Amino acid sequence: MTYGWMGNLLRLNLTDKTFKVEPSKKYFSYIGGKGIANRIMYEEVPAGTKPEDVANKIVFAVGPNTASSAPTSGRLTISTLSPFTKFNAIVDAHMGGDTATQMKCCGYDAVIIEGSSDTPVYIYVEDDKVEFRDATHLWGTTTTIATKEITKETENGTNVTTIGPAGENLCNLSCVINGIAHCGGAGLGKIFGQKKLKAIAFNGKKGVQLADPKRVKELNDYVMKDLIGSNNNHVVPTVPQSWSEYDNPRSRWTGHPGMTWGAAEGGPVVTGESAPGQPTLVGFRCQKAVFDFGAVAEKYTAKMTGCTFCPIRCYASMAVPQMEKKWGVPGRHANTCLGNRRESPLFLTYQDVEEEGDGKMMAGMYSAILDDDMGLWDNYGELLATLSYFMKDDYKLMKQILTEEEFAAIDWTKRETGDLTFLNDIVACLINPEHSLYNLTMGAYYVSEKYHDILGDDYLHSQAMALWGPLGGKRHHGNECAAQVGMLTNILYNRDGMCHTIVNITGSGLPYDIQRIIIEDLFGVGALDKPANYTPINEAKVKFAKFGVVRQVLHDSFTLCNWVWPMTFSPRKERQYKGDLSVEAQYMSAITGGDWTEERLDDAAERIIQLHRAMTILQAGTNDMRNEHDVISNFIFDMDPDKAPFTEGTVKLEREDWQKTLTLFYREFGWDEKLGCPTRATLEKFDLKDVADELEAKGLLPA
Amino acid sequence: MATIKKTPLDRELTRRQFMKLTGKGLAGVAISGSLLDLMGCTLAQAEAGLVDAIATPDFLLVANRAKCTGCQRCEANCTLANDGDVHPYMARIRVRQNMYFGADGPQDDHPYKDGIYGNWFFAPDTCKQCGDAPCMSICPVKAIAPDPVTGARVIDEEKCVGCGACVQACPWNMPRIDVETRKSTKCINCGACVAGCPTSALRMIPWEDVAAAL
Repeated sequence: MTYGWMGNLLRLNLTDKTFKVEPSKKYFSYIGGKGIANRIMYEEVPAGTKPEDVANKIVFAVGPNTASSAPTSGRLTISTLSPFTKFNAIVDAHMGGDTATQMKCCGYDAVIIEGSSDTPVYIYVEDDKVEFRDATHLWGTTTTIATKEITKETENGTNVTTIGPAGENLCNLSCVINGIAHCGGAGLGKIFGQKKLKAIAFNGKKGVQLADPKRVKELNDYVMKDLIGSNNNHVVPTVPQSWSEYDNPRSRWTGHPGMTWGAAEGGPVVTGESAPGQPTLVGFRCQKAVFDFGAVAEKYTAKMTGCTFCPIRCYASMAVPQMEKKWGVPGRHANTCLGNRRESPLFLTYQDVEEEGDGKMMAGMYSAILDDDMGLWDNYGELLATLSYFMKDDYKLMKQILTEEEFAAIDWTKRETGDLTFLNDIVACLINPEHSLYNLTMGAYYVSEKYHDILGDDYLHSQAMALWGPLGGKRHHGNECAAQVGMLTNILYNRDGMCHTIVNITGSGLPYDIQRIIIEDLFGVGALDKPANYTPINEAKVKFAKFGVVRQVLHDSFTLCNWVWPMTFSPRKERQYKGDLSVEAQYMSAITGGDWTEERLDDAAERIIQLHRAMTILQAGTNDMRNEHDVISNFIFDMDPDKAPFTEGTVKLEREDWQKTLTLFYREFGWDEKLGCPTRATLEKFDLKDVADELEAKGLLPA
Repeated sequence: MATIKKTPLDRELTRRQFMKLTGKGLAGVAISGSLLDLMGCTLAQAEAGLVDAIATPDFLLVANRAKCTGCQRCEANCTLANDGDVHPYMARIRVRQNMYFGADGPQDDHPYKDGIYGNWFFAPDTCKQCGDAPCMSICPVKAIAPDPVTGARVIDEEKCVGCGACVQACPWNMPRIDVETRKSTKCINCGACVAGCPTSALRMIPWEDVAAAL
């Protein structure tokens, strides 16, 4: 019997509508999730393949921890080639909701989607039953309608992951959606659309076997009672509670006495106190609607929802009946963080309905409903940033890229009056391949390429765009998060980094001095700068950054939610707020029956980073990562012109220091310190000789 | 102070008193504030019929729709405790089939119906441990009987032949036939789901506590 892993992968061929079940054991050393998906992409999609090619594949993968019952074990990684960033290299989407659990309960550690269909199809998987079904009647439908219809055609409770019109129309910035609002980004919608794949639906009826279920239960109790906090593992509440030593208004532990889910069925549900040690109250800690929308959202919060098996309910599930009367859409949706904003900041004013601020809240919901129904991906605010950039200075750039007829056909005054139907007009153009606005969904790198004559280099490097670099990935907890440490967690990827290991620490709500003591104990003196009061790079910071990405990749592979893990801190005063970084390894041992230590599991995760780096190099055709890939945006050095780097009050970095930072980071990973590419010795240390051989054959190993 | 040990008879009397009080549900019933506190719900929620209060022989099981967030940890904890695996399909408490579009499945007016594609309202289905349990009475081999200690209707795996009659007889189809063992399985009131519910949407209230609150 295989514990943790299901032991099989499912290969789906869209060209000839066949499927094959194959053993997955040879991939176990890549843990799961990102590790398995990246390795399969390495083996099966030759370097040089373009995202739009039939040869490109989509790999869904889960890991031994997925659906193990561990808190936050409902995550899925989906890998493919990026259609929206430079090099079109490997990218991962990290999707929540219920897909990971249902796919694993169908019996598969990975699902490989290959080939391309001539006509629209969707795939229904119910354990060993796999069906390619006609989706002609669903082509052109929203993600909600497609989900509804596929559920009617299958079984109530089936999980449907689907694209909307944006993916069908091959927008680079398009996504897949499951569970109304759980998004898998990375341009996946386009890759689905290219293959004429409308959706994949899982209805799993198998169980996940655990080597030591009693121990898994004990670990669950330990995490729930002693370690877990709220969203991003914030471990102090926003306001004082009877048990709390600290409070911090910026914490995401927003639940407290008097705070409610105001639109709950039958009347408000009070979130109340949820002190450490009370696992049956953990789900009340995160009242994310209020955090995202402000106090006005409390009375419209039906409940908080989220991913399967996650006790941290971070999806603000809203019911705003006024929206239907005012704007004609049922005011019900859920999301979190930037997902609750989307393109709504394009408006110069908002139309309040009942009270001050509800107009802005409705605009955020309206935009989220529209994007999710269309399967349009905001790419962590990149779409908003690009639209804003082209609309600034009285639409100067917009007038240059649209035809006169196109520009005249849009009623831009709706922005000024807060008429939300402006979003309908804009989104209809964005997803229409015949319209010039469609080009703004190519992703910032390609927008810059296409319009470089009018944009110059300013667009890609601007603070307004806030990309981590000209490669086109959005900055995601970069230099504003622990200086060089946060920035380093961005540069490894071919999209926004999505690393939350570091921001979970700096945003925990604990006083800086407590954070510093714990982090310096782990990584050395000087590892954690004061917020916006930075110091030049040192080795402790580099080790801290490496820990950040290694744990992120571990979580994306294992799978766990890196938006909550690792448990660096604890909400418990009696632990001096120290968490436990060995828990993942303890789970790995209990679930799989293996003998896993923290170090061994971190090594397994680092191996995946080494593979990912090599794949990026192979796809880019250059091993000069320092100058071709890891280049960060000018604004990161040039912001706050009146302040010098490493002075209080600025998060800007310094160019020479950044080059030294890269050198130290490359050294930490065993890479060529000048180029930033893995050496043969490093690859062989991680049992990646075949990868080293391919790099050598292509002249991409360092001398 | 010495405590008076309650007997099974005391529990049964309280249970009957509660059932007589509530009839077929909590709607329209005058419930004390202390009992509402125990149940973790408001009078409005109880009166609106949103709180499923199931009078099992051993305790009062409460499932509050308003607090269920669909995390499905109840399903995982059920099989983790009872079967040593994580097997949501086999769980004796199930929320997934209600979560997306409500128990009735997708409707054309789904935005106004139960589920996350609707009004956000849903709750898990649970075994009611019926007094005159259809699963128990229909079983052709008498494999289902009350547990002498808890009163829960439990399945004797030795006797069960996996015919599925209990699944069909149950109005909520709560028993499941295990695909591997070919035996039926159902809720035994172990409480694992309740202990692991992160929003206390599920509660088990001992009849002694109910008696004090009535």
